[in-house]
Amino acid sequence: MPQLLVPFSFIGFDAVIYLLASVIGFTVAFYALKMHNFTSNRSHFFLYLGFVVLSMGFFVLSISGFYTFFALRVSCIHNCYALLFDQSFDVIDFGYYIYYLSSLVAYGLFVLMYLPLHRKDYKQKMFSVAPLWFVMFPFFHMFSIFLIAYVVFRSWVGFLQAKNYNSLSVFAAFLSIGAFHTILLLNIFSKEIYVLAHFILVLGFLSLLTVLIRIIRKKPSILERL
Amino acid sequence: MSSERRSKMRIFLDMLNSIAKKGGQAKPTHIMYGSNLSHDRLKSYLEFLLEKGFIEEILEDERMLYKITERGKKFMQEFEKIEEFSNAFGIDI
Repeated sequence: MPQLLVPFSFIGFDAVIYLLASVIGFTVAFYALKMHNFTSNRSHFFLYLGFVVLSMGFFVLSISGFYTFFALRVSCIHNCYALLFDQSFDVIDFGYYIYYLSSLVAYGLFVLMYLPLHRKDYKQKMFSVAPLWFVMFPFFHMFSIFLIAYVVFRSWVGFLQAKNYNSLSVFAAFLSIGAFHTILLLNIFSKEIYVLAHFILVLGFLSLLTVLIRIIRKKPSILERL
Repeated sequence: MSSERRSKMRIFLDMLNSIAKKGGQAKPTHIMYGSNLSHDRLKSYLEFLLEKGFIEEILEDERMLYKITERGKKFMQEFEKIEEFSNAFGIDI
């Protein structure tokens, strides 16, 4: 697997960003579950499951990032590796593998959320795309861009229909996740691109958080009518 | 008007909204026209809303009226937030 170029001074900060993304993601998932319990809507279930899986991936990446940070920056001077199980498996690699897999599953679930499938169809279609995750694994970012591009397009359509701040924020959030993967493809040219990609990612999740806060804090209009 | 089929959840909300428009209590005919329902469907949905405690029957000047309860108001508030969050993601309820 190609190695990412990470600025030494940024190690640890990326773990904080992953943790923040994970917390916001779990919050969105919690609200989506609440919506699903209320409406029994299939799309709400995929939204919930997608954010749970994505947040779990970010959480594992965050923990492995913190472990690596403390192993490399705090207690190590020369030839340092934060190894897991044996001499061949790095902790941060473990984090990346889990994140790669979970984010691909999550993006697949977001795609299913927007697909107009009948109940009997979606199980079959889900399994038909499953082997792609493994075949395309080395090209993770490219395949993620392909999946997230569809989700970005649908959220853009959603914004065109609703034309409000919340739908624009959701579009911006998915666009940021897409930009995160796209920009990381250019990481071979510069370490700073890694930092830029992570700032874009955190902006995307903060955008989702603003949607949640606005909706939860808004006074329902029913109270004005009664 | 949208030609898509309304979900039951949407019909319940339309019924409660038609009561809310009349100040919180309304006659069955108002609810029927306000939520675009047939008489038979109105009857069964009113029974459901009564059973769930979202509305209650009150007798006023020998006329039967339906009044939104606190539970009904909470349902409407919750639905409004959920609909807004759903719309933000481009999902129809």
